[in-house]
Amino acid sequence: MPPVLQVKNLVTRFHTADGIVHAVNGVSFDVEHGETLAIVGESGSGKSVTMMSLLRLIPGSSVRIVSGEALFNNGSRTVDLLKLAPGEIRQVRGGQVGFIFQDPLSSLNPVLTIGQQISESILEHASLSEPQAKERTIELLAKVGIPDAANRFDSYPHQFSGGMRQRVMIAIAIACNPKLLIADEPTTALDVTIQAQIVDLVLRLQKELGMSVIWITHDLGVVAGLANRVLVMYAGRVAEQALVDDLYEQPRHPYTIGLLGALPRLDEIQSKRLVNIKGSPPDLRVEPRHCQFAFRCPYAFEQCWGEIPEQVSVGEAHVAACFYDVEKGEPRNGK
Amino acid sequence: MNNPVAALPQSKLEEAPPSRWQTFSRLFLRDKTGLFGLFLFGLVVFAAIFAPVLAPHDPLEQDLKVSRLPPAWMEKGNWDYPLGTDKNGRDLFSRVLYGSRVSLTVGFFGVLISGGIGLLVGLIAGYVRGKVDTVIMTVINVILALPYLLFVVVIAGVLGRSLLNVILIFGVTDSPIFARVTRGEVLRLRESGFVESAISIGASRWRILFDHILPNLIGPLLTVATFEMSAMIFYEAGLGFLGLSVPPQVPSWGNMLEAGRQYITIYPWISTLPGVAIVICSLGMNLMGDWLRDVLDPRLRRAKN
Repeated sequence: MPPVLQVKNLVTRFHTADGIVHAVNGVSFDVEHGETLAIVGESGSGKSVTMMSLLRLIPGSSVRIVSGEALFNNGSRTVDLLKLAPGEIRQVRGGQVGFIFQDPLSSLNPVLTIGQQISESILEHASLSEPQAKERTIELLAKVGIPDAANRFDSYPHQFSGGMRQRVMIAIAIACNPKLLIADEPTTALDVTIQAQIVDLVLRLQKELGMSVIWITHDLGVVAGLANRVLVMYAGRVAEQALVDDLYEQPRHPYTIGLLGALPRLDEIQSKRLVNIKGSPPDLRVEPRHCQFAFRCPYAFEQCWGEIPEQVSVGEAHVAACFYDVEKGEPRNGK
Repeated sequence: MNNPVAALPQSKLEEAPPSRWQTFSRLFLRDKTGLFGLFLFGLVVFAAIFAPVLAPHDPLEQDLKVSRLPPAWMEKGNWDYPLGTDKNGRDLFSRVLYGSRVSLTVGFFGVLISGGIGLLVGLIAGYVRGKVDTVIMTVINVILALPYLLFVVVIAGVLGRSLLNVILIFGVTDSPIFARVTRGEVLRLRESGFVESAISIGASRWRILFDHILPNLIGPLLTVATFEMSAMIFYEAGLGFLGLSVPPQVPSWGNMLEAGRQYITIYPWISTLPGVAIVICSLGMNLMGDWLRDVLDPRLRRAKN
């Protein structure tokens, strides 16, 4: 069975008044059926832009998807999301790919009822009558854990708490049983206890519906309890991809090592200063010609400043885009 | 992951939300100034609808034997003419009652026309943006930059004095206000999170425009509409005073103000009474406008709860 989603060499740029911003510079990854892929990286690393490029959700005329393929398998056939006609991509959005946004407070229309907003998605994609859509909506509300779902159909968003609104957003996203659910930092705006509930909910729904999930976050703690595989992004490129345990136990990219080093640990008896990664992310307006992490990398050597590292296999299902072999403590290829 | 948090009591969530009518009536009764505004406006509407029943005389009927009578409670007053008479002996009370018809008609249809044009133009400008927006906004700015009164005087002079012309003039000259408010709101709304999420579930442009953006415009536009309606009633009176509104024999508050102007020191009531009517009407509308905005905007409603 082909992967649900195969992204190949995606390049997205923004043409702004300040110059061209190289937001995504050749990102490739696969999402298998039923798996949860977490995409981590700091702000501006291109996580969200990558996902929004796939569904062509970025508004405005400044965005250019320069190259790349996004092969999406909807069970019966494979289509390239980047080449679909506007009418076809609309069928994919919400129908086969659900999207949950970061901020549930602004993602719901304040003047429409919860019920209207969920049924909208159903009516757009499924050939159901309005009473049927209402029935399905109430079912969905119950499924995402809204108590007293039938009476909540006519509630307005402001009558819901942040966590409940995010549940509603999830209900909208899964309304048409999508193959793939993209969650763009869905827990960032919520407090920690609600975060845990939302993570649990998505995992449960994933099992029930057999969806694949892409979970974008910068919270490595959430990732550990959630993902099968992790993809670490830096400056619009994939730094490292690995199964979740491998990534935490044997990080192979200096950036990942830096990220993990910056996490506070509960199991250390003596508290020590958290390590930070020196420097700041590169200016994305400069076209990348070398490893973008070289500015901050403790292992950087000549080759890092000369070319862009490709992803190399460093273990089973484990790839890193780095010229330096951290394990052996020497550059790869003996150079 | 077994989550203890999920077991927290959710009693508050289980209360049935108040129905729309309950919310509406509760807000209505609580806001005393809004209630007062509605009362004043209701008074004017009542007068307009039942003018033929309430008026003791035909508003056009002249009787020079009783010209310039003071209101009934004053010396030489007469309960046949409760608020007195003007120089032609027409009953002021009846004329004030009938005057409300002119004012409300101008206000209502003026707002309907300017609101309709403004909404359409504003939606296009805000949603399409680009060159279309630039052209529309330039035209709007030109209209707004014209000296308003001069503009109205010229049009009124060219078209002649009639109720329809007054409505058309207000309908056109006031539409930039609605267009601007609409455009601004659309610009804000089209970038909002819920439009983004509507796109992400595959909604079409029309669906976004009509199902998501339009309902959000009703509150702000209705508020603008009440204030503009009150302004139009004001301006109509002003035009009447300048002799540019409806023909002089038609009982309108502006015409009555004008008719009483030359007697203001000797027979002050002839001008004062229509003036009081104008104040009642526009005060009522302004208070009601504030109240409507509160009730119609769910975000503000929440803040007040």
